[in-house]
Amino acid sequence: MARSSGGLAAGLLLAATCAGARTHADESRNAWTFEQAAARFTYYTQDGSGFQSQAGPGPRGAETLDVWNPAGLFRARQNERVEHELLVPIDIITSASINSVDVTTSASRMNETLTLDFKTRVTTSEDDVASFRYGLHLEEWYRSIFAGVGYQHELAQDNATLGVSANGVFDVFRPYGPYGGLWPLGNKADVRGALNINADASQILSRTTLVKASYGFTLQAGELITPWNSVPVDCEPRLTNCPPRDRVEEKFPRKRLRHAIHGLLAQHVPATASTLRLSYRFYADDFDVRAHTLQAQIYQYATPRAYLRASYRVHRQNAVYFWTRSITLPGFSLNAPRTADSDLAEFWAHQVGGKVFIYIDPPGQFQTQNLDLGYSHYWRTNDLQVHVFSFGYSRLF
Amino acid sequence: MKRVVFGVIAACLFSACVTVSAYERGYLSDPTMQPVVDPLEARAERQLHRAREAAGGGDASVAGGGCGCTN
Repeated sequence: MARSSGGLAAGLLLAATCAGARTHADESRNAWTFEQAAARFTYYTQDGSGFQSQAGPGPRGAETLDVWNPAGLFRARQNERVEHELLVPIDIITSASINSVDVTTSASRMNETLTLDFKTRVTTSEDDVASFRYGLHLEEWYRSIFAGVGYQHELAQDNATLGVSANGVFDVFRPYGPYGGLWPLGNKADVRGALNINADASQILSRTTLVKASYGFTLQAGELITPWNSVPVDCEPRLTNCPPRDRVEEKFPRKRLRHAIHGLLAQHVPATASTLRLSYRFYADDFDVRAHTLQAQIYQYATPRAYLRASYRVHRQNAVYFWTRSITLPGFSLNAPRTADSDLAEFWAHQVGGKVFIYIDPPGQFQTQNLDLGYSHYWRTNDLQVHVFSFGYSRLF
Repeated sequence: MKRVVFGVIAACLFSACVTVSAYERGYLSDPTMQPVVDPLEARAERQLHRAREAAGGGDASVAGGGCGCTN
């Protein structure tokens, strides 16, 4: 699916680019203007524990890790109708799950990832924009390609916008050997894929009010586990001869269908030079997860050249139907789905944060450069907390 | 919950009769009023939540690797 949608996207992109080149030959001579470069560095430091991790004296192992995440965004215009964007995030993750069941790769101890995410927008008429997305993701234990197409139509003198998009993802797991080597003889590769279809609508309600609503579903198929997660095994007390291991790998159904609806209300208040943003998301899937997420943000301009942002987010979810703290052997079928992953358990999550944003151009000039500095604290009721520090810079050309 | 969703949909439909001209959209063009204020920050936030919650995907983003931990 992803392969065919990738080919289709590439074909459409080529056709659109050629058409743009033919009909705007004059513009393409001057062509290619670089419009924006942005960079962001985010650092996460996480602490907590979960039953899927072996890194601890008890059944709950440590989930301590650090993530360094530099990312770049580059935007260029090919001509009046065609615009390109490249997003390049890099993740460097330490101790994804120390001492976990995968003694085989270093993915659980140190994991580096790189994503190249291209987007091309083609203006097909005064009210219509087609977009194409394509890219790849490289990670120690798997490779991934993705592609997508989208279409956006503006109505009522651009007061309303309707959009649809479809994305496909295809992952290949790189199998690993007993000493961390890749592609050892005798190992098979696992695969998984996802198809994602979305529809959204936005509407200007007044000179200061905007609303947006969206719906999307994602169908995933293939091997969905996290290889380094494990499930504790209890021994049946009446038995004198216990199974020789105290943990087994997690096991998932091979298909998952996710639905999500999202609503956003953005309200600007000119009298106080502030903006209030409220969003709500409802999520449901066939693993029996139901989740509600509410977020509120207040942007307050301190001067025309700087604003502060305060935000709060609350998330509530129930567990997947096969979540367990431990399984008991014998009696539990090792073919049955199981996970002890704390991310898939029932919990509440809260996040509070703040950000300072400043235009750094000299007074009297266009505001083309900005800096921002942010911090947020994320914590869950099942023993996980993350401190997030971020620094961003953007420049328009 | 149904009333809230219905209210938002009704507000959108009824307000569609109101047209805000291009020259009246000064406040709406403020960066804080855009559907996505900062794509890089939005991506980082999405990763934070998608890797720690079971409810990732289903939205307009590429749905990631798709494993149970929602990489």
